[in-house]
Amino acid sequence: MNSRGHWRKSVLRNLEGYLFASPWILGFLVLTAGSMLFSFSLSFAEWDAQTPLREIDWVGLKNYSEMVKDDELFYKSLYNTAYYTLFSVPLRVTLALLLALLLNQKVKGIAFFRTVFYLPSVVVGAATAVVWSWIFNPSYGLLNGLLHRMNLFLNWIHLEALRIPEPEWLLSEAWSKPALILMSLWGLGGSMLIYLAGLQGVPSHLYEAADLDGASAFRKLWHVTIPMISPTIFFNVIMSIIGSFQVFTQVYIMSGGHAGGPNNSTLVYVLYLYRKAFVELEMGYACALAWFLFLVILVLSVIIIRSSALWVYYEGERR
Amino acid sequence: MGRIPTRKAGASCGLLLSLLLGVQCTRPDDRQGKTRIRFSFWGSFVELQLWEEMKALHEERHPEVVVDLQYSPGEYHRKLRLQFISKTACDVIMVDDEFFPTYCSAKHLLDLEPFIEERTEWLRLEDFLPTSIESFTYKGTRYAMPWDGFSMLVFYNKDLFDREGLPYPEDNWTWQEFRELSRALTKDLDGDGKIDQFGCNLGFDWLSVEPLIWAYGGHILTKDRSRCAMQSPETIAALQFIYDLKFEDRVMPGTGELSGMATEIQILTGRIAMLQAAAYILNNMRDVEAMRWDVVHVPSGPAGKATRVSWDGLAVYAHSDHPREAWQFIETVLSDEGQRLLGSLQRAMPVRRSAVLSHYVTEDTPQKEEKFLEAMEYGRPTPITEAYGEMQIVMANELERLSLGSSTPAETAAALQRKVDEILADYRTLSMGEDQ
Amino acid sequence: MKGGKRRGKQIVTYGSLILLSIAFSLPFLWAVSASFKSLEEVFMRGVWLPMPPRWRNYAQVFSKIPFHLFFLNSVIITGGALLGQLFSSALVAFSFARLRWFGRDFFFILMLSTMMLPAAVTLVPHFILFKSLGWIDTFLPLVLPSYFGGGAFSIFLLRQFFKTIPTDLEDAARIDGCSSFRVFWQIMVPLAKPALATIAVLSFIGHWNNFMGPLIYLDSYQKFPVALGINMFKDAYSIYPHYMMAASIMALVPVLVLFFLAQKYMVRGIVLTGMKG
Repeated sequence: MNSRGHWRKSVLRNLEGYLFASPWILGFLVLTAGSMLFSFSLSFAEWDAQTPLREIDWVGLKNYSEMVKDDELFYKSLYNTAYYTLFSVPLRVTLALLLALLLNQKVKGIAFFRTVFYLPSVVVGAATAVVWSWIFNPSYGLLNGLLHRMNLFLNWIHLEALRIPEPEWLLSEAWSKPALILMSLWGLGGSMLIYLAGLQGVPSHLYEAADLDGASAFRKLWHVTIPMISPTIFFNVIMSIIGSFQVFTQVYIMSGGHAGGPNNSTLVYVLYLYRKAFVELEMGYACALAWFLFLVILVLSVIIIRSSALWVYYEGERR
Repeated sequence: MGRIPTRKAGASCGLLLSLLLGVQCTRPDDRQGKTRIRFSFWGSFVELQLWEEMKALHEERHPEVVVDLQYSPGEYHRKLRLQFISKTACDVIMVDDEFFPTYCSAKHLLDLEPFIEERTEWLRLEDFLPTSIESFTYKGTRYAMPWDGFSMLVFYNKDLFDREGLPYPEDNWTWQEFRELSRALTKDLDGDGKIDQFGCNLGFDWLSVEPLIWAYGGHILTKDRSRCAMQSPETIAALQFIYDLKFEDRVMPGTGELSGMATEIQILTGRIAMLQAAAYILNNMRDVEAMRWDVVHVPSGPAGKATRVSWDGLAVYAHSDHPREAWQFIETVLSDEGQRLLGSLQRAMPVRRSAVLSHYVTEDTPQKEEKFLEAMEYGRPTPITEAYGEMQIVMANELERLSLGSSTPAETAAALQRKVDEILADYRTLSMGEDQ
Repeated sequence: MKGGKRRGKQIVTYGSLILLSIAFSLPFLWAVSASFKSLEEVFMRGVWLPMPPRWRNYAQVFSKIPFHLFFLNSVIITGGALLGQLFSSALVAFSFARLRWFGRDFFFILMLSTMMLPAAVTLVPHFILFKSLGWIDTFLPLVLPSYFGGGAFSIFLLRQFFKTIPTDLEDAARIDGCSSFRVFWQIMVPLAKPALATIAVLSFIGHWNNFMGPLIYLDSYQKFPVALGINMFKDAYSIYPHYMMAASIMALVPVLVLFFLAQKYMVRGIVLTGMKG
């Protein structure tokens, strides 16, 4: 084929790609791009989110410099969020996988069990708060009740030394974040479901071949399952990170608003942002906070995406 | 492997889409030529019903007007502010004291003085309960009319008192007597080392602490609300009182031990013997048969009795197309009939004294609603400024530290003085009434 | 020997499943028990199921709020959005996964980045946009955006799935002269059923439970979905946990039904052994 033919082919190829992606591209240009630009420009202004837009006060980099130099809650909330992410992401990604493996068996009633594990992530917002306040209540809650009983048992068999602490959970500075992390694990259902779907795509002939070679269950897991579902793992890792950095709703309803827990120990970044935007009515500052977060997540994600070339395997890869 | 059943899918898609379009096209009976006014409010399903009835009442009196209800079952202020930005706020806006100064200074609310001047004769302002109209006055001008509110009294569980052989509290009791009663009522009932019954549960948040501060003669802000007034021996004494109740006498549950439990439940389950609560909970308490309870006036401190009152108001949007019709709706709410509708719900108290006497205080129940009315005489509203948002956060932080024992009353008062002054210095303030 | 080993495995499997189920379902069980209690009973200690259970809580939900209306609204909003999301995200994901075009990788990262900005700051511009389109108090802001790609989450997920499908089938089809659309519709989509089922379930939940969107964009309460309806059982001063739980549980039923139905599609995809060579 001559060069003009090649050129035509590649133009058509590009057009086709754009055509299929057009719903998203259109939606992005109309809906999302505008609001991203809007919030980005707002980060250079001071606005209380209720006076008319033409009366905005443009202040240049003041929001950003104040953020970095004067704001200790900025650092505190970053720390809280990083703590939360550091623990909940690995826990979430691995536990969801283990659960999915457990639920991937063709035993009777597996659909029932899958539903049970999925259920907690589905109860609507406000109802969740009521339920979890009861669970974490230091004196009458379910969790401490169980721990107390275990301690009594340990006492009874004279193993007091192994005593488990019965913390105040959401009311103690040290234990409030672990309480939140625990709470988030109940919402594993979504990740688990995604893993389940991914596991369905692993061709059984690979397992058969491994069996023939006499591979143990663990080796099958490590050498067949995990590589084959690495695209799914990649998805869950990225989504967990993005989600953890932006955790808000759970914390908001558990603190009954913008409070942020004992001594701001559960003041996660987005909660602080929300407070700035809607309680203290400093929308410009909140936008600055938002774009800083954006940058952090973007950088992290790009790093993981680049590294994915090393550990993610796509059966249908065509570079 | 099942192919995607195209025909079934196509049929259900079609059905769904037509339902979707159908819903969009139906408009609630678009009567020609009628003026439509919109009214935004918050609350639970109880309030929704109330406003449906109020709407019917108003449309009966003004057949040329239709009231469109806009109900927000949550996040009311968030939506309201979005509407302010996009200039789509409702003609009649429900407001409370919290953000009132903020909205006034941003010029979202209409100056109601002209309407008040030419109001209908039955709307006698003297009939309004004390502090209600002042709550919605900003820089000397009225921007909203109060329509309901509440005061707070002490509720107590009679059964627990009987069990301990204690006399019921009298209206002229003092905070010291309150303290002694709390001690007597705090017990470990089942001998497991944990206290199951507490004498009282006074909160450490701003709204719970301020009546005590007032009772001790202290103030939150100065008269013109330009500075904080909390660094005073009276305030520190008041904070010390609550602090001791918690940490020395141990008559209160630990922080959040009863988290998530609504006020009335705390009393009903016998966990707390005495509580400060608003008349609002009367509705739920009334049907209770499991225990006997009653209300009594708040105890007096060294400077007398003080309790918190709070009012809800109705404002007109500054950019409304139908301000006169909006005002008429407000008048309906404030009319005898309107206030009767409110009073019969027996949650919040109607703002007009005559309505309270005729429809809120009933003889059917043994509980003394008239005490809530009497409490209006010594009730004060919280001092709110445009800096409310920030101030609220500072107060919450410092008082929380006090409640956890991380700081002393003196330190808390000093910290609050410093931080609140800082915040207020950034804002111009209102001047309304006496020292708060 | 083999039988014993399998038996042992079964016991371990069932055992751990049951233990974990109990742990996982406790919050839900509490919610169920609360839905049968009276207001005082909700907070009393040690009472798991009151006798007799107050079935009338469920009936009273309907008498206090137009719950059936809310339910219908939820079905319309969620169904409408789900439809758009499934179809359009599959199209876009196919483009990212299998087609080669200039700027593809840049747009992919751009797409991911749309998830990185907290909703709090995009709330205002979105509202202004929809207000100027005249879409306030309609279902359109809640449904229509799903037809434009359906969100980065589903696109990303499907793209991962499409990339795991071996290229052999597609190559064969293309040699036979298949257009991209036919490859998409007749090869990729059927093979991605588990992923589509997953998205259906997750998306359903997302739209069904969405609170903020409907709250902000809907003014007439007759158009409210169930998520807002449940919130009508609380306000600043009081809460009715028993009604709230009863309403929440009724709201869960379609979710559960969908979940069960979706299980049918969570099956091993085509066995591609024969493709080699």
